[in-house]
Amino acid sequence: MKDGTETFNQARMGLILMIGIGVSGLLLLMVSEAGGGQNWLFDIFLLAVIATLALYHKVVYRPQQHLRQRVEGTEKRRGEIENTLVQALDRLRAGDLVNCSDAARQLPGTLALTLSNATNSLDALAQQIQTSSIEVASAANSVNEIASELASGSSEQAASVVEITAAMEELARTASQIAENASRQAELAARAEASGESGSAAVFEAVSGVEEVQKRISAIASRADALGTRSKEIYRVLDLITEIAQETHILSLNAAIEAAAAGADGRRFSVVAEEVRHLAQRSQESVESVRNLLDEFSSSIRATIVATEEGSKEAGRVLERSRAAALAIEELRGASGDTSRVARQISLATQQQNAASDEVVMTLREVSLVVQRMTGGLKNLSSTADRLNQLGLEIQLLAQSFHLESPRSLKHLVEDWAVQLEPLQSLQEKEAALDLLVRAAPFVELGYMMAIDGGTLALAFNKDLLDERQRSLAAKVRETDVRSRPWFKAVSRHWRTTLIPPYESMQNSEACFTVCTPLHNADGSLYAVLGIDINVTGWTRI
Amino acid sequence: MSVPHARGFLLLRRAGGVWGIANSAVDGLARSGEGYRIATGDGALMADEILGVVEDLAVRPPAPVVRRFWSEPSAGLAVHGALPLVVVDPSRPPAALRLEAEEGEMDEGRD
Amino acid sequence: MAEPGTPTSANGTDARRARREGTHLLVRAGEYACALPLASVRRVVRALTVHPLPGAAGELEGLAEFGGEPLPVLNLARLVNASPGANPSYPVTVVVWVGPPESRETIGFTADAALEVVHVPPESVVAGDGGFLQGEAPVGGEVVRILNLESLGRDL
Repeated sequence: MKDGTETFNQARMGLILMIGIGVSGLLLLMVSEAGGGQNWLFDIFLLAVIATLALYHKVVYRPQQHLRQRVEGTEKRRGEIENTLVQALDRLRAGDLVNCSDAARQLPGTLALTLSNATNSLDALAQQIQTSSIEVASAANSVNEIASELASGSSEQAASVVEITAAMEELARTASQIAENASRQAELAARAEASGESGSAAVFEAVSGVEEVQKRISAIASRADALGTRSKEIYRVLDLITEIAQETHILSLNAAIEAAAAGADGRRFSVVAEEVRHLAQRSQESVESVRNLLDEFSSSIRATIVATEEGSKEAGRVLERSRAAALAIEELRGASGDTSRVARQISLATQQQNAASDEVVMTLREVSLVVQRMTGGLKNLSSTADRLNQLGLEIQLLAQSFHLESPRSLKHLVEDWAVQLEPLQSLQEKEAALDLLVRAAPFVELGYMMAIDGGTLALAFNKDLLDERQRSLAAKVRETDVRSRPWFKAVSRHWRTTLIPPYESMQNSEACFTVCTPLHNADGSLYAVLGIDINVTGWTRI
Repeated sequence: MSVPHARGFLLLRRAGGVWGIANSAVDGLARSGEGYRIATGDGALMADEILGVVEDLAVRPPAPVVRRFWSEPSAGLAVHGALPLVVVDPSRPPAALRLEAEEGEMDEGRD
Repeated sequence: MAEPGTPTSANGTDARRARREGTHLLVRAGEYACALPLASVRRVVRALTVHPLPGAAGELEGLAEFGGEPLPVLNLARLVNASPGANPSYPVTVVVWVGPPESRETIGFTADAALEVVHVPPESVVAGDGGFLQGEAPVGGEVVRILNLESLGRDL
């Protein structure tokens, strides 16, 4: 480039010089014609021209010749580099970063370094992508597990919410019944309160009546006592009269005695004495009659007094009981009032509880909906996790489409296996070696060597991944012409290491993907295909 | 039997009855427990209550009916105010007045 | 015991006449009705206050005061051996003369009641023990014990 630039600059200088000479010559000519035959200027011009031409030959023409030679060489080199670069890029396009790096070493320093760096960066990127895809898949599996757990928990929660909702609805119904009962109770209590009031009034009237009766009984008793007192006074009077009558009687007897002592003179006196005695006797009889009457009267009075006392006592007892009943009714009225008030409060509270229960039921229903939506969301999340897992697989497959210098590169693995198997002579050796290789690769479900005519040369199963039945199914491939299999078709297209996208496997009808590479004889001729099957469920073991 | 009017008598109650004893026969009077002890020349007499002293009493000899139903010795009967009494012979006091008399002895002769 | 008021000879003749006529004072003594010769009855008074004589027989209730004099009082029911009757409503003391006329003494009888002066025909009297109980006679449908007060004094 530097030579090219210098050549260009020299050419430009030459051109400028040529233009300058031309202009100078023209001016000299014009001046000479104008000046009338000054030829020394033209001579000078000619010398200048000669100098210029010499200088042009040295400065422009010879470098140009060198340059042309050099350009021809460069073109040739460029063609070689271009071919090499094309080969390397072709490898790169095929995803074979290993061979691309090998090809890049043949390029010139900077280009090789740049391509090598680019290849290495791509290699690192592809490996990072592989790792990240596995991490994404792991994360997706974790999310899936978590989503499953959450979905399970949500299902349980939803079931619990349904139970709680049912219980709350039952509670709400019960609360409603309680509210109704409380309302009825409040009405009954109100009626009882009203009844208590009327009962209290009635008892109050009864108490007043009994008090009045008691007063009247007391008045009767007082009058009876007064009568009894008068009777006693009458008795005393009767006693006095009796005493007088008895004294009179005694007096009459004494008069009779004196009359008898007086003899005939006392006869009239004895008559008088007898009359007096009769008078006393009649008085006594009258007193007795009066006493009898008074006894009857006193007995009646006593009976009346006793009756009034008993009546008064009974009235007192009735009054006490009435007052106690009034007190009890008053207390009952108070209790009824309290009961009524409490019943109203209970009714209000139960109504509020009923409303709250309804709100709770509605809230629980909303919660149930939320849980259902969450369950749905978790299912979507699980589906997304599955999709993410699938994307991880796809990304892994994309990354595996690159042949990387990494033990996690399946293409590199298969080609490495091919390198190990190709030198072996017998098929038994090859199969045994293949079996060892498959055991060392826990993610490989099946390894096989198939002849290009479709026959099976070697078969190796991963007993940890395939059960006996699946192994027996896989063994049937020996009876199959594998040329119809998708992996064979893919590898036979370009006869180079190929990653075949997931398809249904023969051994377990599950999705698996294959990496296969052609096997060559010692003379380089193609004779078989080495392939490994990896179940899509176990790709994260790579 | 005639009994001269005795001057000055001590009236006392004993065992429900009222008695009188000539002051001249009384040597001394003293409390004795719930009652009184009257000292005489012939001994001592007991009284439940001392009613007083009177200057004079009209003493009558005890009626035969009295002697028929009451054999205790006495100096006669008298009345002071409305109170009938037995005048005691200090030398022969009735059992009720004697110092050693008990309630059982006083009720002798009664049903 | 002689005392003021002792019947004079004229009164004694009349008293003998009254006694002969059979006039008696009828009194109640316990369950018995007793007839006291009216001539021997001095006075009938309300039951006097009797002061007991300690040691006296049951018939002698005690001493009372009558007219300023000590009056021995006998229980008539006990004297006639009468069972107790109903509680007397107006007990009396009958002041009588007992004993022979020449040595009468005044005593008192407690009786449950003084009834009346009755005439008991001597021929109706069924003779008694001849002492205090002179006899018995029907008076007013009841058997009455006729008492001889003179014998009471004489019996001493």
